[in-house]
Amino acid sequence: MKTVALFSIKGGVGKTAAAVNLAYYAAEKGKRTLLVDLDPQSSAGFYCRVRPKSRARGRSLLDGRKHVVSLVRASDFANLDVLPAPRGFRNLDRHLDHESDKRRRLTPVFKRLGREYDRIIVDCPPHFGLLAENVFVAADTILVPVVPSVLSTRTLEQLVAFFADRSLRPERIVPFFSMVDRRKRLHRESVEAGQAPGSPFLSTIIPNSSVVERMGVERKPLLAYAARSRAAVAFLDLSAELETRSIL
Amino acid sequence: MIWTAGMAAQHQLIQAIPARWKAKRNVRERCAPIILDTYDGTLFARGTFLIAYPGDPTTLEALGVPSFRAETAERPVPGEPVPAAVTAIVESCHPLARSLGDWTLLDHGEIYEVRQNFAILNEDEKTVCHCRARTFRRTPHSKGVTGWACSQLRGYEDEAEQLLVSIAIGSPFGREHGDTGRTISRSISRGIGPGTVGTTAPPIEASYLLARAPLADGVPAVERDTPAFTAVSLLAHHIVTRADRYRDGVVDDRDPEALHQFRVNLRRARSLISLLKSVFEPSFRRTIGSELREIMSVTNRLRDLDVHLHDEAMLRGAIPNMLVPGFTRVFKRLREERERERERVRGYLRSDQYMSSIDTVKSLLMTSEAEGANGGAKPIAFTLQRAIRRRYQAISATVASLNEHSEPEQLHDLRVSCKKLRYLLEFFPTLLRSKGAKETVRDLKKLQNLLGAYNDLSVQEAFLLNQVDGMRDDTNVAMAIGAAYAQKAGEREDLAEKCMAAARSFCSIARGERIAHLVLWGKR
Repeated sequence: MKTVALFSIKGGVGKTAAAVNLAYYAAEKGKRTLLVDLDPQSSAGFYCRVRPKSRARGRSLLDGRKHVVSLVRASDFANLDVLPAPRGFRNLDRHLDHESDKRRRLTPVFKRLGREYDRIIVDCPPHFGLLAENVFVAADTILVPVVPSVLSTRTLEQLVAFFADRSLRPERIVPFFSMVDRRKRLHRESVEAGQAPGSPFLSTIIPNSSVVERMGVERKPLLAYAARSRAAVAFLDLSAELETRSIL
Repeated sequence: MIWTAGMAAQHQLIQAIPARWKAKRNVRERCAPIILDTYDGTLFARGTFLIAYPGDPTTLEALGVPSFRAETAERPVPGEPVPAAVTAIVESCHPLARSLGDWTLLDHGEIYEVRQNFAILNEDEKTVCHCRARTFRRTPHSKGVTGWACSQLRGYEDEAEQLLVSIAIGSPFGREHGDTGRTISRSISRGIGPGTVGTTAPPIEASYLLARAPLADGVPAVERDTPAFTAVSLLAHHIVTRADRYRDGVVDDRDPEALHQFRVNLRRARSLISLLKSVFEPSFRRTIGSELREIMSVTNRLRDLDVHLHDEAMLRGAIPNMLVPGFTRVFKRLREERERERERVRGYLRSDQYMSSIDTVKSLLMTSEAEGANGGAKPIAFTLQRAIRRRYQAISATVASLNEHSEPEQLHDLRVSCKKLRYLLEFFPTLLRSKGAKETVRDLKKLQNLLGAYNDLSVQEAFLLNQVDGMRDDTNVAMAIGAAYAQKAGEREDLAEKCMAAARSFCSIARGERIAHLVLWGKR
């Protein structure tokens, strides 16, 4: 079982789109995949048309490992299940704060889920808190979408510094460029710099494309409705690259 | 397990089952993900039946292999289908109620089988349940029995259960036609969900929905030099067969769309024969035409009522709220009339008279080429080109005569002419220049939409005026109808100008030239 978390402190960088499409790709490959939506906006669940169960609460994720399994719902796609985020997940940090092992509380939860799945893809909220720390501990890889802009790059640096502070292994952070608009000089230059030898960035670049935004209209992974689009091909390349690196 | 059986029907069934079995197994046990239902509340039950045990999805698999013999029947083994000689449970066509509980009955004899895979969707259009169904019929038109196996998706067990119960109660496939049933029916008819991508089985009610597939599906191949008689006969036969496939849908009254498609296909067949009339001998044409006309005339009123009832919400919304209650009596009367009409149409479509008419048409269309008129031996491309050109000329002439004083009937004639031209362009797509035909059809569609909207308003006006008759004593009704009429008349006048403008832009010199060379004679 491999756990991959999509994380960025900055919002609107394409975390959810990447999480949904990577999960769909893994499921298509025949791997039993779970998409865990930790963002209380529940966008990943929305894209997959999966609503949280009415009885799901913020604490449900922490209330016993069996309880977590009951929150999982099947998507419309073979091998792909979703753990959608109820609104109560906004209080997860507060709940975690009351737990004894508050920085590692989610690790056994993911382990329990891992019994049923080959891949767990986690869509994280854009927030640096206890929940994020738990994910950093529990996940094998932290994928960080970076828009080639100053602020976005700065958040990556902050994340690396945070890992160093907490004695977490920074090599688990794998950034990739997302929402790249090649018409912009800054984007072009940033990408070129990011692809220099020794750079931690993945070589795949996800372009900025309106077809990705249509995911909210189609409510499907991009690969399920516009598989030949440039963005979909980029997500396929990203998946393949992650597979080559034994991340996905 | 969903339980839809009428107790009386189950009692009958139980009585027919050998006592030793009953002792071994409680037939009312609720344990299987199988729903059984008949389409219309009756089941032909005569002769030897395979009785499959409840609770076992493999029974459905087994039903496809009716190789059991009654004399080898032993005590049932759980999980395996059980053959049994339950002779004459009831006499033929005895009503066994809409459902048979947990039991699957299958006649041993030759049967028609329809396999269907589909998904049940919730209001978010999310799949909550995958279903596999098999329908068995003695003949393509006889009543059928359906076995279902449903697998609920993880996390959606409760929701799926509720939806399935709604289906059973609303009975979209049965006689009742409650709101719940129709909603679910629509959900079902969306067909295979994305979770079952790659499944080749057609969606629910294949016998009904297959007919809604694009016309290209199964259309006989026609070459440019195919004799016109052969080409037109084959296509007309194909269209009539398609129309006939909607018969079950109309009889069961599952969806007003079934009747609509039934009539559309018959109308297309009639148009094909009349537009390319040089192909047939006049007597031949008259016979087919009168048979098709008769079938359509029986369903005219029911279709009108469907349309009026469909417009109910729109009409109610078109007038002030305080006047809306006036429509209640009007539509109540229409619904009652629809019930009567439905019974009449159902009786007709089940009658020998209908079967005889449709068989006559089909057999005539399968007669040899020698029966055709002189024009029937000419290549179809030639006949088609001439018909398209003539029809376009007719449209151009009508458009040229339009002005602000034109009568509504002229726009109606124009609508009919456009419809005929579009039919001609769609009958033999392989014979036409693809780009030119597509462009013309696209522009025709736009014009037709406007003309159709205009016609709908005219029909609504006539309908409203008709409703006043017999209800003049009711002030509320009169006020509601008056308000709606005034609204519709205003809309229609506005639309008339738009229709004329669109029609003039459709007819141009360039268009005329394109139309003249639409049929392919040489290379594409």
